[in-house]
Amino acid sequence: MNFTSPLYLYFLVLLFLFFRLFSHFKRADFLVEGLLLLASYYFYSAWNPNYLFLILIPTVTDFLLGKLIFESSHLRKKIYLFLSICLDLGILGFFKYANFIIQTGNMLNIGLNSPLLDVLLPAGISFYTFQSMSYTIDIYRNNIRPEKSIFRYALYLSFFPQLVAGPIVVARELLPKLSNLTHIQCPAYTKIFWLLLLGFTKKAIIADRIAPSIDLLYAYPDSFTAQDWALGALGYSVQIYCDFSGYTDIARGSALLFGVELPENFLFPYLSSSFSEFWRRWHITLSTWLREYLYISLGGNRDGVIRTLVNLLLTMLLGGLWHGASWNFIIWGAGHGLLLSIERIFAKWGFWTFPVGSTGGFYQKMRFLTLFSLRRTLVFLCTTLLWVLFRSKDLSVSLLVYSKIFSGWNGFHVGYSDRIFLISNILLVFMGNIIGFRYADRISAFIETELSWKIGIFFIVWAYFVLSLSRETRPFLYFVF
Amino acid sequence: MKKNSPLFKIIILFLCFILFDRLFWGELFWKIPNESSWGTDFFYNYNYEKNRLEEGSNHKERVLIIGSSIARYSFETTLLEDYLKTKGFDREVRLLSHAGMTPIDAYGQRDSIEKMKPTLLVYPLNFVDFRIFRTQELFPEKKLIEISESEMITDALEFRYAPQVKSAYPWNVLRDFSSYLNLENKAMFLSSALFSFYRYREFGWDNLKTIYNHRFSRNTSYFWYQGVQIPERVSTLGWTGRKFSFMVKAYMKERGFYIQIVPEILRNGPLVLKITSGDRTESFEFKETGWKQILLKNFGVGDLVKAELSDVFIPFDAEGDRFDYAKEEIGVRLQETFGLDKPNQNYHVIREERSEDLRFLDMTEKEYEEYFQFRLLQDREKRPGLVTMQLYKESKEKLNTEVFREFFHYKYLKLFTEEMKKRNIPTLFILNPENPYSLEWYKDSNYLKEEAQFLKSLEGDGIVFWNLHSYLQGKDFSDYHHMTYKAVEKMNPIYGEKIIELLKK
Repeated sequence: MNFTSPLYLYFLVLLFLFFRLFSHFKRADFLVEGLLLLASYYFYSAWNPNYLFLILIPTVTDFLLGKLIFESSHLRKKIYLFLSICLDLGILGFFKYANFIIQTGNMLNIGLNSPLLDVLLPAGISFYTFQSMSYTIDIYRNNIRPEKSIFRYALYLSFFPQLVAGPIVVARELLPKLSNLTHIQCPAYTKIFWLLLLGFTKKAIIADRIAPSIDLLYAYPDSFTAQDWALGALGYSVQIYCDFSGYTDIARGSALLFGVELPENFLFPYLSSSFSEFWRRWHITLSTWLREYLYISLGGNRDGVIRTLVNLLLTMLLGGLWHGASWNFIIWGAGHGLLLSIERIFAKWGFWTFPVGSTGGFYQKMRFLTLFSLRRTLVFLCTTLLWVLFRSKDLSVSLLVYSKIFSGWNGFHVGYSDRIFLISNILLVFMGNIIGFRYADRISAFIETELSWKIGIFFIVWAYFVLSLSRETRPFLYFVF
Repeated sequence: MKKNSPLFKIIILFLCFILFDRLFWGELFWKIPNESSWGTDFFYNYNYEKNRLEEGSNHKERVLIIGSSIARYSFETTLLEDYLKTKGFDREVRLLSHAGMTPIDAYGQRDSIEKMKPTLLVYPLNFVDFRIFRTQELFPEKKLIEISESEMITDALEFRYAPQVKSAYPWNVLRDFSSYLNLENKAMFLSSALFSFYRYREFGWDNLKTIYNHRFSRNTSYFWYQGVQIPERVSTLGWTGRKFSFMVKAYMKERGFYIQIVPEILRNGPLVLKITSGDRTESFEFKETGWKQILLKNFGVGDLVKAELSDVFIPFDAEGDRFDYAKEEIGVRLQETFGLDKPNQNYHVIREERSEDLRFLDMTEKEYEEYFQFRLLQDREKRPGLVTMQLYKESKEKLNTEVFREFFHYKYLKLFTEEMKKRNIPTLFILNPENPYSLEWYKDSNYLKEEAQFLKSLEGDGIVFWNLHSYLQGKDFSDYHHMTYKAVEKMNPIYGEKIIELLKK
C-alpha cells in the first residue's frame, strides 16, 4: 500500500474516524492500541501476508528477551542480549544478505558454487530490526525498563506510518508515546496537512516525474553524453531526496493524526557545508542509530585518531551494507566513511575550519561567503557522485556512468523537454530548501497554529494543484531497503 | 459540531474541494476547444468526443461508429456522411474510438452509448480487438481452453494496459467487475468515479499544452501534423517529400513559417529551398540544423507557391528519431499547423490522406510483400517497437491448433449484444477486412471458422453480423489490420451500402 495511492488515503481516513470514535469509549487506550495494531498488521500484510510471520519473530523474542535482560545479572544479561542481537541480525542476514554472500562466494570461485536461495526481501525488515535491537540494547544499558504489554511492543515494531521506511524511532522515544494515545483532544491539523501535502508534493510531483528521465539514463548508460549524465546525476540527487523525505513527511503527518510525533529525518541535507553536517541532516534517525548503537559501541572517538577513523569507516561501511546487499552499497558507505575521515583529519589540521559567521569588513564577509558556498557545493557534488553507486544496478554500470560523466563527449541527448524539466526541478528543490532553511522558524510557527479558514483554503488550493499534476504513483525508493 | 471546530472546517473545505473539482475538471475543462490531433492523446480525445456526443440532443438521426483503431482507420465520417447524403440518407455519422477499445470497453460504456441515441451502431472488429494475443502472451505454455478467464479480465482492467478504464467508465467497472478487482484497484476506480481530477489528470494537460502552443509558440513541438492538406501530401509526422506546394497565408507574411532541417539532409552540403510562383522565385539556403523561420518577401497572401528542396533523405539511412524502416524520400518537417491562420478544432475525428498511404501505390504484389516483411518483421530483435507485431504473428499461427472458446472479450461482446437488443439499438458488427498476408497465417484454422460462427450467432433482434474478413488486397493495408486511405475511400461506399440497407429496415 503506497502512501501516495488512493487506497492509503481511504485507509488513513477510515482509521482516523475509528480512532476518534474509539477514543470516547471506556478502556479507550486498549481499544485504540488494538485498532492501530490491527491496522498496522493489515497495512503490512497488504504487501505480502507472509511478512506478518516474520515481524512476529522479533516481536515475541525481543519482548521476552527484554524482560530476561532486565531481570538477569551481569553474565546472563550479556548472553540474552547476544541472543537477541544474533536473532535479529540472523533474520536480517538471511533475508537480506544470504544471496549476496552466496553470489560473492561463487564469484571468488572457492569451490562452493551454491545455487541462490529463493527468498524475497521483506519490506521494512531493516527498519524494524534496528528498532527491535535498540529496545534490547537500551534495556541492557539500563536506559529503559521493559515494556509490560506485548501488544504495545508489537505496535512499536509495526506502527504503520514508519514501518516500511522509517524514521527509525528507538523504543525509549516511541513506546511512551504509544502508551498515551488518547491524550490528544484535537490533532494538530495544520501541521498534519502541511506534512501530508509537502510529502505528496515532493514524491508525486517532483520525484515521480523526474524518475522516467533517470530510468532512461540508467537503462542505457552507454548512450548519453557527459552533459546529460551530469544532469542525470544531479537529477537523481534531487529524486532520492524528494522521494525519501517526501515519504518521511507523509509518515510524520500520518502518525500525527493519531497523536504520535515522529522525529525529523531530513533537515535540508544538500545545504550542508561539511560531510559530518550532511549526516546530521540526511536520514537523521539512521545516522543517530548508527552513532549510538554502533560507532559508540566500537569505541567512538575515545581511543585516539587512528581508532576513531577506523570506527568511522567501519560504521559507514556497515551503514552502506544496511542499505542493500551489494558491492555498490558497500563502496557507497566506504566512500562516505572516507570523506568523513578526510574531513576529520583536515579539521584537526585546521584546513577545513574557518570562523563561523560573517562579521568583519566587506573583504572578510566575501571570503566567508565564498568559502562557505564552495564547501557547500563540494559536499553536494561529492554526495551526488556517490549517489551514482546507489542508483546503478551493479558496479560495472557505476563505473560506466563515472567514465561517461568525465569523458562522455559523444552520444544521445535526453529529450529537450526532459532536460528543461530536470533543470527546473533541480532549481526548484534548491530554492525550496534555501527558503525553508532561511525561514525555518516562521514555517514552524505557521504549522503550529490552529487550522483557520484562510489556512484551510491555502491547503485546498495546494492540494488541488498537486493532485491534478500528479500521475500514477511509483513505489518509494527506500521500500527496498 | 461547533462552527469553529477544525473538523467542521475540514468537512466544509472538503465539500468545496469536491464542488471545485466538479466545476473545473468535470465541466469547464471540457468547454475548452479541442485542438489536439487523434494521436496527441487517444483517451483525452475519446472522452472529449464522448461528452460531445452525450450532450447533443438536437442532432439528426445518427450513425455511430465505435471501436478501436480498426474503426478509426477504416471509416472516414465525412466520406461516409457524404455518400449517405448522395443516396438520399441525410444522417449524422460520428466516430467514437480510441486505440485498444475492446468489447469489454464497449460493454462498460453501454449506458453512455445509449445516451448518444444512435439510429444505428456500427462496430467493426478484428483479431486485435479480442486480445487473444495478450492471453497467449501471459500464458505462453497454456492452451486457450486452460486459461483462467478471471485473470484475463483483471489484466484487461489494469490501468497500465488499458488506461481508458479509469477515465471512460469507472462507475461501471465498480458495478460490473468488482469481483475481479483487488482493493488497490477498487480504491483507484472509486477515486476515479468520485474525483474528476483523478479521472482525467493523466491526459488533462495535453490539450491545454496544444492550445498554448497554437496561441503562443512556433507549433514546432507536436505529436501529429494537423496543418493544411497539401497536394503532394505530408507524412503523419509532418515530413514533406522533395516537392510541396501551398497557399501563402496571412500568418506566413506576418510571422513566417517554420521548417525543420535535420543533419541527414545536410550530408551533401547546404540545403536549398526554392520557392516559385509563376516567374517569381525566392531561395533559402540552410547550413545548420534546427527549426528555421521562412519569411516570404516576393509572394503575397493567397499566392499558390511551389517549393522544391535541393536534397532529400531516406529514413532508413537516418539516425535518432528520424530513423525508421521506411524507404520513401523525405525532406523537411513542417510546423504542426502549417498553412492555417487559425488552428483546426475537433480535428481528432478527421482522417486525411498522408504520404504513408501512398507508398504502396506503384508497387507490384512481390514488391509489396518484400516491403511488408521489411517494415513489419525484419530485424525484430533490434526493434522493440515490433514486439506487438511479432506477438500478433505468433498468436495467429498458434490459433491453427486452438479450439475456439467463448470467453473473455467474446463473452463481453455477447453481453454487449444482449444489452443493445434490450435497449433497441440496431447494431452492425463487422468482421473487418484483414491483410491477406497476415490472414494467411491462420485463415484455414478451425478457430477462425468457429469465431465467425460465434459472431453469426449473435444476430437477431436488430443485430446484424457482416463478414468482410478477406475483402481487400495486401496493398490496401499499412500493416496487418489498418487500412490505407485509398482503401478507406474504396470501403466507405461499401460500408455505406450496407448501412443504407439497414437504415431502410
